[in-house]
Amino acid sequence: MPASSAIDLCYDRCLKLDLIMGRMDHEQTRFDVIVIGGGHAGVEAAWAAARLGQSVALVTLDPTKIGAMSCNPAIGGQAKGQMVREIDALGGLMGRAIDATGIQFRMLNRSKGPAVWGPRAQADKLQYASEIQRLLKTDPRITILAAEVAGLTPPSASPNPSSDSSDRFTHQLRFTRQLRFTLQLRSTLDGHVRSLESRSVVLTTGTFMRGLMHTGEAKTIGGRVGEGAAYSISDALRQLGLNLGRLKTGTPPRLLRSSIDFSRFEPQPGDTTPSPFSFLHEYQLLETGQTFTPQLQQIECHLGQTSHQIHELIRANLHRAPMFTGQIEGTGPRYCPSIEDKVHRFADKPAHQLFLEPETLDPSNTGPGESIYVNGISTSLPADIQEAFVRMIPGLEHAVFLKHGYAVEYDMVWPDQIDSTLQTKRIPGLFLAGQINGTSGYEEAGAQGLIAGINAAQFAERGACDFVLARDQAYIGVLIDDLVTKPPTEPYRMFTSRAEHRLMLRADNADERLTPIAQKVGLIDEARSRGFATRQTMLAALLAKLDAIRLEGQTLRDWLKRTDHDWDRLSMRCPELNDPSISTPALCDLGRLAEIRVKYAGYIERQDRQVEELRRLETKRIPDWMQYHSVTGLRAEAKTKLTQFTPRSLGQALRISGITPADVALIAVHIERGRGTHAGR
Amino acid sequence: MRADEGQVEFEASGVIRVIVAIATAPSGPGDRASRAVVRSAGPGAFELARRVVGVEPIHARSVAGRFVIGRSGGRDRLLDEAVEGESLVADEVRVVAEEVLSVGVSLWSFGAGRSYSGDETVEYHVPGGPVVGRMVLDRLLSLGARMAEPGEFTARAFMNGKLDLTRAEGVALTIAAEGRAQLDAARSLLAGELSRRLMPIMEACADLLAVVEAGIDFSDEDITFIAHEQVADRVEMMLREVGGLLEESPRLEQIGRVPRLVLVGRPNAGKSTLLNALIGQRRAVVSEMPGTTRDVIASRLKLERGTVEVCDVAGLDDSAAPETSVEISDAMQRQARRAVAEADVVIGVRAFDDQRMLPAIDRAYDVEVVTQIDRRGVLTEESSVSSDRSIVGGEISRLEVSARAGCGMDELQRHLDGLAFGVRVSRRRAGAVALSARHVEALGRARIAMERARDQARQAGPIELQAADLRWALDGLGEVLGSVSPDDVLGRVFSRFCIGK
Repeated sequence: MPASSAIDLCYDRCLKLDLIMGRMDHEQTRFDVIVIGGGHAGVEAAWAAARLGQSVALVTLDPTKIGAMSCNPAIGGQAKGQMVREIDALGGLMGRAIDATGIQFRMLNRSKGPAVWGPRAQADKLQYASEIQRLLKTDPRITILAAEVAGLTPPSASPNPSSDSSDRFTHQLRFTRQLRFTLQLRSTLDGHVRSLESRSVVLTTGTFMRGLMHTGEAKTIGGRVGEGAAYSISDALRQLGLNLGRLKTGTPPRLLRSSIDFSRFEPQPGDTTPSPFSFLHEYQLLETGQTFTPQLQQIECHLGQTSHQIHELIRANLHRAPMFTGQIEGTGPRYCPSIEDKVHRFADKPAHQLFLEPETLDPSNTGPGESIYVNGISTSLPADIQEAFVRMIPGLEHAVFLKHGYAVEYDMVWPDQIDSTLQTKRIPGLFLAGQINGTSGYEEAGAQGLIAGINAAQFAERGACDFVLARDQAYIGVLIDDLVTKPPTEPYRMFTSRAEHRLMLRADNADERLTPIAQKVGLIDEARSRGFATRQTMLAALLAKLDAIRLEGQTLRDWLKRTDHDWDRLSMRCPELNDPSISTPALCDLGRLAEIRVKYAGYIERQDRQVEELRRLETKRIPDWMQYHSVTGLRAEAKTKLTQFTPRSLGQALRISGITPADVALIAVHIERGRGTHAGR
Repeated sequence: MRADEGQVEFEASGVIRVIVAIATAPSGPGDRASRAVVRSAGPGAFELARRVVGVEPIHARSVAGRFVIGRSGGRDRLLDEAVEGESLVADEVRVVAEEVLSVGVSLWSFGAGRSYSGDETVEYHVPGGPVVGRMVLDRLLSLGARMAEPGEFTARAFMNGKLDLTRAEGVALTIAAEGRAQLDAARSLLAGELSRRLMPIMEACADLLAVVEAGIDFSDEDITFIAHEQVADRVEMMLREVGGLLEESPRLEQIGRVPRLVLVGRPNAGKSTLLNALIGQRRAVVSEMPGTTRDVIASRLKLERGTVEVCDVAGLDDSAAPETSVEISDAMQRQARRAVAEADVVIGVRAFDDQRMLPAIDRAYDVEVVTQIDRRGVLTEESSVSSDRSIVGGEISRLEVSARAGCGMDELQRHLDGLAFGVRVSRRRAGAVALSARHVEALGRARIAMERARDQARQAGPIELQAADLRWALDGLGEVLGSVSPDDVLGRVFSRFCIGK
């Protein structure tokens, strides 16, 4: 492995200025919220907490790597793209950052209905990270510190605040006495240890907790190539009584662009009309008529294939792949298998796809960048085998490796130990977000970071938090609910099929679903509020027109419902819809929104009824005094599971694997029975 | 945060303590069961038994003791009733001390998790039938036990994970069963026949949904997922199965209900006489006067394969009966016609010497019975048997009987048995299971969703809508098997249960 790759040099060059932020001689030693980790979860957490008025310290090993994309240089995709829209609708960073730094925009599933459209964009990963850093710096309440956590002490030694009401009482007391977490931080710049205090802590350790990278037989300590690992934090968490697990993920080789013959690959261009992730661009279109245009040069990706001979070579060397030799303990994802896994499990498939994705534009911005990410061949085979099989691919005969592929193992905290606010059940005020909870992906991490940041801010302010999104409100709700009810056996990734209310959880209506909720909490600034209101008003007016105007003997709404009719045809047939005060692209955008609502109306109505039904179970909260072992008739397995997961509602209880409707009915009866006894406590 | 989240109200779902009910069948005054069984279940059932009987309940064993009914200045009314009405021997109810009354009891006890309902259960077996049983019940209630609601024992069994939904319904049927057909239906439900029929459909549906979902979530992979036509074909196959199940299966309600037979004829055709002869007692007032029967009179009749209800209604005629006001006559006629509309079998009754057609009704007669043939004066046993049946219009049988002489009555009973139970059962496919209204509703929803999915697929419509419909279909199927159970399903199922199990 090259000691210092082109990428790392680029980081240093671009971000040198930011190092100043990592100084440890900062005056402040008390913060409302401390966020540990500067990945996609950490930055959203810090941003959200700061938006809510809290002072935030963002602690990271290397501030120049804040917002870095460790794996593929892309944001979004099916379900993930919808989540980025949700993060944006809640006032988060990810959508704005990718819009500013995308080098190819594509809407996936465009041939299918808009409910499953997933926006995706290739990013210039250096520009992306620096855009995230720039945005963070716009909020003076955020202080960035370059340090490793050497120790983490919760407010008091009383370890188990579980369900007993007297413990809840002491917890409240502790809060009113202004007790704080104490963190020992060792500066990564000068090695000095200092202690910091905060009301709440958000842990987003990513792949860095006891991170161990594998390339063949070679093992390197660290969470990302060229970077270290965090060891003390694992021990600190164990000492706090948290139960840790171990997961694995992999990444493919990066090749030098100039060593590739692109003529042997099939080019994959982006959409001719790029769709932005952030709603701010859509609001801007309505308010000023200005369409979204990517700021960076747009590029093509390239598509290629492996071959039978390559598979033979890999198969012959499986005994040198850490996953097959047992060198890796952690469980890897099934949906994103390594090339050795693909060859092994799908032996009859003659070829596998691979995508050449540029990681950056050239820093001088004169042409495509140096590093190409080879998506689809994630591998932990030894370097010599990687080089051999990659060079068997037509066009890659002379490929120069900037980085070899590797697998990384890391510690995670089993998420049955957190609740839906992402707070640990054991230690009030301690929140976990991102890969530490067993997820995979930037979007999944960012979504959790945002929720953890909001709740950590609420906790810092009033000693309690309750920001939870429901499964019918957001993919983010589905994500967290899945985590706390079904601990992942592999890194958890979002799919649209995980959402039973998928037709409602669309990319186009994320603001309608979530912005009002975020407004209530205080996350939304003036400009976004105004834009949101404008779009909702204009959309309502257009929908009213569809009901009022008739065409071919029916209302426009009914006309539009037919499968072979769409907005483009309608706007040509019906000039009354044109409004001189709205620009053509803006009207087109609104028209598309209206069309989606009209087309899905029947199905959404049906789904709505279903949601109502289910919501009854969701609103049935399980009180704190619930002691499952004293519920008569409850099966032993159910008692164990429910005590382990402590679901917040009957609906959530029902989603825990192995819990039956009968168990839930019993709990309902038990709660009803205990209500009198526990009233007033 | 959602606005409605703050609400922590629970619907009152009853309070668990000990629930009690008399488990033995209620008997009429002339019908003396030798024992009454009072069942109690719930946490504390053992403790309650200790208190009232003073002995320690032992799991799955009978323990003898004396049940202290209460203290009273003298014997109370109930006790007197019990002693006199049920010929209790002096030993069974006696004054223990000055004023303490007790009754011999054997306790059958079952520990939590090992009883039918899964709760701690104690059965009090007491002598002397329902009246003593009621006294025991009253005493238990006065000590804080609560009267079981209909089906509550079975509801508990379901909630304790002892039964799945289809089985729970099977138990309800077994208790209520009045005929063989019902018992068969109940047994096949209990044996999980419905689950066995439905599970493969559910599997197929889940499999198909999985493939469709994969096409949505992994569209950028170079894998060919399922084509629209394949989706349509596979849904079509499921539809056939679900449709078959819906169409071939009798309705539990139909089986659970006693078939109703109605006697229809002109005034004075001899309907009431026929009814009395059928049930073997004087139920309806008979006279030579036409129009004697004014209200609908219903009686139970035990046939070979089960019990039916036979209704005698006012004679239907174009002309009103004499000495009856027009209003009353109209009301009678309306009532009679409603009975006809609701009946399962309509028996036309005609006197042998009445040459007119049977009165016109809105439906076909199932059988014609010619009565009073004894009045022809030439009747012999043999002739009635040999000449009793002919086909009228190729459709309905005609039977000739004499209720008074009792000839042709056995043949008539056999024929009615066939009308009430035989034909319907034989039409069904062997192995068919009966469906309850809840099943029909859920399967119907699944079928509609499948039809939509199929139609969408045929038109190559949006795949996400096909997926949504398949998911709905799966939910519908899941509701029948109890694997997906919104809580109101439970309520509907258990409201059908009789007390005691």
